[in-house]
Amino acid sequence: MTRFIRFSVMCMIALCLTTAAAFAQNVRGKVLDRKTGEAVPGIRIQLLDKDGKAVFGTVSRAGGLYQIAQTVPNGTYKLVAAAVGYKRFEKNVTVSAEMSATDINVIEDVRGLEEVVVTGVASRTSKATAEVAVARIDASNLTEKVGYNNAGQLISGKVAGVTITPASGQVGGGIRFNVRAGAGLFGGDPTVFIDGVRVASGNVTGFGSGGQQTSALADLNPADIENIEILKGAAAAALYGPQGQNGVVLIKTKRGRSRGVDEVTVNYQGLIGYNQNQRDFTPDMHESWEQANAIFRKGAVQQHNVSVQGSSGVFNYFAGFETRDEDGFVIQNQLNRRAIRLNIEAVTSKKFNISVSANYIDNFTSRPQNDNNIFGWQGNTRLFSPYNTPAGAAGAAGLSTLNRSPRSTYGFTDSLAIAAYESSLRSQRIIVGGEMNYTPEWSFAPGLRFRGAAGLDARNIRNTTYVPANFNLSGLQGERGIFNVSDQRVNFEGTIAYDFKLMDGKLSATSYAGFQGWNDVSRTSTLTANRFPTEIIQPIGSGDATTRVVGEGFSNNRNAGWFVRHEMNYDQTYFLSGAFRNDFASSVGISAPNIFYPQVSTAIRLDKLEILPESINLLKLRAAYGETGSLPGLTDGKELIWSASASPYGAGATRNLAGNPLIAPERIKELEVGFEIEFDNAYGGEFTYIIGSARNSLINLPRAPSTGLGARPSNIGGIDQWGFESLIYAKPIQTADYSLELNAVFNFFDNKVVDLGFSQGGPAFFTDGFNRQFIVPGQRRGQYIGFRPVAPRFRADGYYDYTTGPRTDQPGVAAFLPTADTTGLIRGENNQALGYAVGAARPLYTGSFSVNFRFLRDFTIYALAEYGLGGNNFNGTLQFATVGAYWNNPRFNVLATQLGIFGSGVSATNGAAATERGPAAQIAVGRVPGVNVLTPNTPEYQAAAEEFMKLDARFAALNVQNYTQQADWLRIREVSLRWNGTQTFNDLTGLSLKNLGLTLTANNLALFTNYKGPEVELNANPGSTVRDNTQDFLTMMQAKTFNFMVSLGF
Amino acid sequence: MKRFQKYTAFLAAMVAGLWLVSCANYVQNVEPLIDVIDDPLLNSQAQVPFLINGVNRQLSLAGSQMVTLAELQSDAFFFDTRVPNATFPTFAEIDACAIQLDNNSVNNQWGTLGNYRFHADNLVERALGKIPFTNDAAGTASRANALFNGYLHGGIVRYFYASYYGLNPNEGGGVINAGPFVPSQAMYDSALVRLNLALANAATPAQTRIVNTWIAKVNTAAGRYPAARTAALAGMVRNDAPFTVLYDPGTITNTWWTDGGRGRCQMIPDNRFEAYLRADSLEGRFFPATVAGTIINAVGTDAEFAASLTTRRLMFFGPITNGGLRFFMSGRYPNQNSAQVLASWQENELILAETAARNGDNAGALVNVNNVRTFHGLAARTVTNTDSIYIERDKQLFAQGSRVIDQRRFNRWHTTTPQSGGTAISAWRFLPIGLPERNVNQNLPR
Repeated sequence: MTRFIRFSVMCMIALCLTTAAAFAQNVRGKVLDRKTGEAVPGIRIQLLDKDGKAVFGTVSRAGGLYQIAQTVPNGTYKLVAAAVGYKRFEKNVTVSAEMSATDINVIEDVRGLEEVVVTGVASRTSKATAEVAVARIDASNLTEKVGYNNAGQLISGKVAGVTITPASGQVGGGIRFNVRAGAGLFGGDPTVFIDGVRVASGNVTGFGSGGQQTSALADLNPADIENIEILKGAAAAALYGPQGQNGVVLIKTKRGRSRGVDEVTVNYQGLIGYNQNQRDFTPDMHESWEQANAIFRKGAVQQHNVSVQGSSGVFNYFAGFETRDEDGFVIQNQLNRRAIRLNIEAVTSKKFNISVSANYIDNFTSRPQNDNNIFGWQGNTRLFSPYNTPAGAAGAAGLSTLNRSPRSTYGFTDSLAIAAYESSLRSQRIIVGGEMNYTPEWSFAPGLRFRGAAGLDARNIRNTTYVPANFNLSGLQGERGIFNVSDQRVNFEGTIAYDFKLMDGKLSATSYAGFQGWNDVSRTSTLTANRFPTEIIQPIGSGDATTRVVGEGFSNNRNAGWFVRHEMNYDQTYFLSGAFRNDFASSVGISAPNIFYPQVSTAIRLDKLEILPESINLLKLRAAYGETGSLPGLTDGKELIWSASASPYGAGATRNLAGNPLIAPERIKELEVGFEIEFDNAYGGEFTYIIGSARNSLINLPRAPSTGLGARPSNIGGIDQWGFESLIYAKPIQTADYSLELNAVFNFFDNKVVDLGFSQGGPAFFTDGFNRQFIVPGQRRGQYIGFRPVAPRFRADGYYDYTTGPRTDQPGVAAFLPTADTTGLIRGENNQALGYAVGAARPLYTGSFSVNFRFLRDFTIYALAEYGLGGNNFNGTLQFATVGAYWNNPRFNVLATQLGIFGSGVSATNGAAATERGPAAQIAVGRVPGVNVLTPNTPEYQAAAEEFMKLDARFAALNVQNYTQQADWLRIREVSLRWNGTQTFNDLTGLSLKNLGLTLTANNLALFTNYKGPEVELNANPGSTVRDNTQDFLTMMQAKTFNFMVSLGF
Repeated sequence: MKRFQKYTAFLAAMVAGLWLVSCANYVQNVEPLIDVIDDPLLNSQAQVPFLINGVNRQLSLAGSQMVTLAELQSDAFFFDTRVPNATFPTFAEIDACAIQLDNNSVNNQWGTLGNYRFHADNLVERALGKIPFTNDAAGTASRANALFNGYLHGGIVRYFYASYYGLNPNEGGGVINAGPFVPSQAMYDSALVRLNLALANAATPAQTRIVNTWIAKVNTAAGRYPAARTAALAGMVRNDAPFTVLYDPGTITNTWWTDGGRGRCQMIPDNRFEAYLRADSLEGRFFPATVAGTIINAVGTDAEFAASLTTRRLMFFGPITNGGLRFFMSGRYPNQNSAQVLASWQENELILAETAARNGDNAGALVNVNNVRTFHGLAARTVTNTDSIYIERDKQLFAQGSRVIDQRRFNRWHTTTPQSGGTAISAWRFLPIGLPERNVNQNLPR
């Protein structure tokens, strides 16, 4: 009987299935935005069977309509709708004869929580499930709204925990990434990958033209970038090995997109605008404020991008051409860039895809000498008082020329000579990357995946300088220099991944094993000559043969590592991963140094546990721990290396480097814990607290110059770092015609040096060479430390005693005031009194606010403000302009006049009595007309003396206190107004343009700061021992840029 | 499933193992560096000339810069911003003898001396124990040549330390290899040890005379006049070529070119030198110079100038008036390749004269003084004493780095009460050992 019943049931089921098949249906409906009610085209819709396999699919069309073309057998399916920018929609549907149209209400993914992001060298997941803090910048969206000058601007202020500091306001200038608290004792920049190619992203070497440098990222067209992801710190980037110690920046360029097969989209974006100086110099900054302002101009900017993208079914392609011509706001500064990009993606099947991206760039930059350089425009206009400038003939840009006189504008270099100086850098570069993914679906190994990638960044850089023969800079009678660099950087990686499920599919796991390596080759050659016969000839061969200097350099450096990683997630709710990596580096003379770096991370999606209110659609707690660090350099382990150097005696053996055979890799550790929350699909935030440390830091330990051996690569010291990054966002308004998005970022990071290995032969402290910024145990990295002037001294006649200078709180010197408060005196490890803390160099608090307001459907206003608080800058320009003979500090001059110490009391020779040889060097340029000498022994005189001693720039021990200034700032970084006229235009004309937009943008529109120099965001030359160097010596201010942009797509 | 997992695990282990082994090989398989030499490769007799060139190169780097800084600190030259292109605040400090410990010009030269000392001592160390010299005449000569050069330069650099640097304004001396401070007298001793060892390895009479003159110089600077006389008696003689440092535009240029010369003039001679010429036109020559913008156009490459260089003691460009300052520029080292004189037979004669005069033998001193004067076509003196020899040295040893030593020896310092660190101090009569050494060398007092 039982057998009969079983047979009957089976027959009935079979009958039903047969019947159902006979009544198969078309599935159709409309895709709508749940908030705005607007139809949404371009949504990918799939029906999944009970095994989760996609069995039918389509894409929503204009008007949001969709219809699965095939006839779908009756049954129960899971209807899934997904697209970038929208959260995944899932709904169980029963297909039957009675089935009506099924509408799909999608929800905008305000923060891209469900977009796939990279969380490690091999792993990809969504931000909603990532176990580490992931920063992702939707660059393609931003470049539609704002005309960016460089890729760095795309990152600045957009993500938590990362700030960008330009080296200079000059076009093409270098940039520095500040990722969280900085990794090791001296920090560093993150590694940058573009489409999987590990690119040269540091500053370009070559002839110096001041501290501005040139960024390798200046080669990159911001309009080509699809998105930027940043892995911040060791916890996230441990699997990148030594590349990850300062974070990893992953730039992905645009890929071919199409709404249908064989549909081609052509986009044009044109931009015109100009750069101008951010601020004007004012009379309270310099006596020479008018001369300093005279070097500025409006530099024209023009850019055109044309791209073609589409799909042929198998191939997706994107091809773009860019031409950009940009003049800086200072004479001679310009950039001309031409670039071609071709990205092709071949998707032959679900099993196999391969993509190739190729970019050729020809980038020319002209760089006048500026920034930390007395021979440039700034050095000659901001240091000298113009009081005794004689009238001269009009020179370049209306500037006076041949006006060289002591302590006058252009006191170092004639303006025509500066104008005649040429320094150009031409970079021709190919960046090619390829990636292959293969999922074989072998029956004996289901879940096995392979991924391989390789990249090449090859560039030739030609840096030339030229001074015509009629300008005598350093008496060279013309000078020509040529510096050529040929770099090839190859990287490659491979990964085997194995996906499997356990516990009835609830537990998903993936195991990875992979390798990564790179090979960097660099060749340089230098040729200089001077003494040219005439200014009308330039080739280097025309220079005096006896003055020619040639040089050649070569290096080949390799790194390799392998890693293993295991990821698990239970029901998309609990996540756990563990990994380790082993890295090797090239080393001459010793065996290759290698080190293991571990990583472990976890996360839990509380919103999946159904214990939270339904309005909370995401609440994820996460924690991650990871280690990275630098590996020793190629020759660091060699005891002693020599080179051959030319000399008048013939080439001679010269000590090149004295290394350290015991050198070992360093270890940087970081723990991050945080959470992400989102509710009502419109409001959310993220918070990450980090605590980290670096030990056995790899540093070049300065040796006493009397050794004649130079710095020694060493493993010493340590630093602890901590802080948090946070971000909140809201999209409170979203209708068909209006939407409002708000974002705020707030970061706090700090650090403390804990050890310099003094007892093992390490230094008592590090300084920048001027004893202004220190790295000393117990203090923040790069802290400003100095002694204070405590009390003025007066002569017997009551006048200020300028000769002796003020009493100070510096113990052990004659000027020490015994009653001075020495609380807080900082000492080096050797007990040497270093001074009193003035403040941190970099801002302790950074952040940004942004608003994106769309109104009347087609118009959008976007604004981004960025700020930094708690930082300090050393105003070296003002200190230099004050000291000795320059007399370009207006307040100092007023006080000197009031105190009656102008004239013979203050000499050109740095305060010494006017020389008895020849006419007195001192002249009364310091006396300010209309200012009277105060009466000694009066309160007014005393007050002037006390203020004056705090401006005295003659004493190195006091300069830090006297010229370090607070540097809090708020910058209106980006403002734009965009009209998206696509729909209006199409409605009016009946045409079907894919894109029409007009945009007005302004970058660096306004700066509010308490810093007294023209530029508050400083990134001094990293040649200094102290990386967090915020010393302002003639730093060129950032540009204020206005652009008008047209976007057209058809 | 389990079977496959085992297989996968085995495969992964194999891959990992292979890669682990190959990683080390891969990273070490790099192209060799082309611009460096491993230290042991230099332990060869064939490399001795290359090593000696290296030491001489260090002298080129150190020599003229040492002299310019010393002359700037002395009363022979001064710094004035009214001179076109005279801009260095560090030079202003040196001129005023109010020198901060972070003075780049002083500290860079300190580093250069460290390199010079290292290369000289390294050559000696290598010659004494590392280079396997052949057991024949060539090997013996090569070893002596290495030792002669190593010891000679080791002596010279210690003379520089003792004569020009100091820990305190009135306390001269230097530091060897991050050791403790060595006061001037002890440093002079150290220099003399090496110069005497150089003497033992001299290959020619000319080398012997040169080293003896150096020994005389060191003893004179140290105030050990009898010993100076003894050495000078065996020192350089009339028509001996001076001991010079070589320069050329393509490698290392004489720093007078950019510090106090036609390339860039940041230091100018004291006015008294013009007075010397006015008193006796045969003492030297002025050649025309004018200011045009940032350029001082100075003529001085013609045959007449070149001829004058070999015969006249004082050579100047100018006078020039600019910014209210009337000045002239040194013409002693007019070109980038001008050789810097560090020792000469004339100096040797003047050492003999001074030591004779200090011994009460003014007549003997007069002979030595007139040997020098008549060589330059100057009228012979009829009388002399240490004071006149002081002036004679001022003229004869112009721009050779001796003046600052003489000022200290004769206690005729020229500056008063500069200040440093917020208080009045004694003038720095030595260049200070600066922060780069003090911050790192734990042997130095703080």
